[in-house]
Amino acid sequence: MAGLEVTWKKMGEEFTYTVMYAKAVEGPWVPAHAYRLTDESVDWIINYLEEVAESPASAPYELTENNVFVINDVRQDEQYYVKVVSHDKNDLWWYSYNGKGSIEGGVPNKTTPIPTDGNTVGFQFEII
Amino acid sequence: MTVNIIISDQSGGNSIADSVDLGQASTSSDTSFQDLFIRHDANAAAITDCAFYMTKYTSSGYLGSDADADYTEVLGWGDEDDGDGFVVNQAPQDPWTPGQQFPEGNDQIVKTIGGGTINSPLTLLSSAVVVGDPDEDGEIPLSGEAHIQARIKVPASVPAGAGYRAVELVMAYSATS
Repeated sequence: MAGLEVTWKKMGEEFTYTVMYAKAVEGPWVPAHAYRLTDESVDWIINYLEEVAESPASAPYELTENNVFVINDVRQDEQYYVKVVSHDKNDLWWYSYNGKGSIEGGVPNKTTPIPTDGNTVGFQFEII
Repeated sequence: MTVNIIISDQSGGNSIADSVDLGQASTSSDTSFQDLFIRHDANAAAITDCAFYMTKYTSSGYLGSDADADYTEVLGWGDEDDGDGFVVNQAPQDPWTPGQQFPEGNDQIVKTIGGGTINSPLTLLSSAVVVGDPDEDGEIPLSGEAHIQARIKVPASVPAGAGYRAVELVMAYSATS
């Protein structure tokens, strides 16, 4: 699977990481949401961002030529919502991140990864 | 720095293939078990919040007919609460010898509430960490390694000759970079 990138912006600066950072908008470090990139999930992501941003115009997105899917992050009070982009749109997952505190240096304290080749094992068996 | 997880079939080994064949099993019997050794390459701090959950099979070489149905079926076996289903065992013997199955009394059957979804994972138990000294469940220390086993217990209710089934196990974790 191609590496994923998490990007967010603050005060005009943009930070990009090649790991999957995730945090529920509130609460402990847990996976927030993960959706494969289908038409349905794209719609869901957009709708969600519009909802949390309370401003549809501030939740733009784009699908670049190399299939990097970008959802611009949204700031609401002290909460930041990250965008997750993938070099393979079939592997897109999305998370939100509350950057309060740890975002200051541009490096969040912890990551919560999505299922990847590294932390996933498939099992097959035959019932005879 | 990205923190990577390495899951291997022997301690310190190379990454396991993305799909494991657990072999054949009759109804009311078990598949073979698979050893899973789990380590990471973090160099800043231990990884934490380690937990397992079952999901739909997305790995290569799928032999069944409907991966969604497989996931639902196997999860349903666990929810029946008869001791069948996808088994995670986090209780390695000390010492453990290759080929030795962990005590069945420590089997954890994956259920909807208990390993069946990303929102209800089975926390990695400190008892499964065989290298390193974790402070709490869910932690694999720096240079540490966990050892679990997985297998399937096929219930009697499944028709003989039902064919291939497949599911996937994911380990979620948090890492400091």
